[in-house]
Amino acid sequence: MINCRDTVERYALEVERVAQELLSLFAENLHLEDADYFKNVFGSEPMNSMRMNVYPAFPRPDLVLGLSPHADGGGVTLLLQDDETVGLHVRKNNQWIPVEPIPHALVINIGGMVEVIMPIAPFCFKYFIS
Amino acid sequence: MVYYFSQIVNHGIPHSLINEIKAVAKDFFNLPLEEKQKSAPQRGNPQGYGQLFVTAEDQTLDWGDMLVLFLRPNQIKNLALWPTVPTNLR
Repeated sequence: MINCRDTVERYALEVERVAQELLSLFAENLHLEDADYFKNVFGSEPMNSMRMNVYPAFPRPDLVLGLSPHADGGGVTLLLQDDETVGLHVRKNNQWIPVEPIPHALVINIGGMVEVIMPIAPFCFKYFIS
Repeated sequence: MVYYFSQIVNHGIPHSLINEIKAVAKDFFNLPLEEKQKSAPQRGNPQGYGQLFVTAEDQTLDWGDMLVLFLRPNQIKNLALWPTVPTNLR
């Protein structure tokens, strides 16, 4: 038997580690002088919130969507997809592309707060869940 | 245009922990409604168990259940809303 609190706490530490590594890599790839650039922006204890979602099957998909098209706010989203269902789609060249799940992979989406800090390119993705 | 969106596999999070967190989520949503509602949000705070809401009249209804838990910083963590029913790892 496992308990939710213990599992969530251990998972939180791991995703924070991955998020910090990603932000350091972003800084490096953007040729920012300081590899800790984003660490400094978000502070020593950045906000971390977890959201678990379930999108039940619905007989009238014309009436509902799991989640409407949106872009993420915040810093960076690390998403664990369901392994069996393709829900997530991303917008590319005016088309919705399904994101095929890779077992145990994380989907990385860059949020609005990091996007505005990065003056280089449009970073923010619009996506929806079917 | 450059796209900064990716799936990463070599993230170092043990697969066993990923299986655990998925099992925890699945078991929570499979609980009876009364049990899930023990995690209902308090006083307009978005943490807890609930549904997405419609914000615009022309918006398609979002159809989903969610559980939101703030993890950090510690002072915004509300453990009272965290599920307590243990998960049997398969």
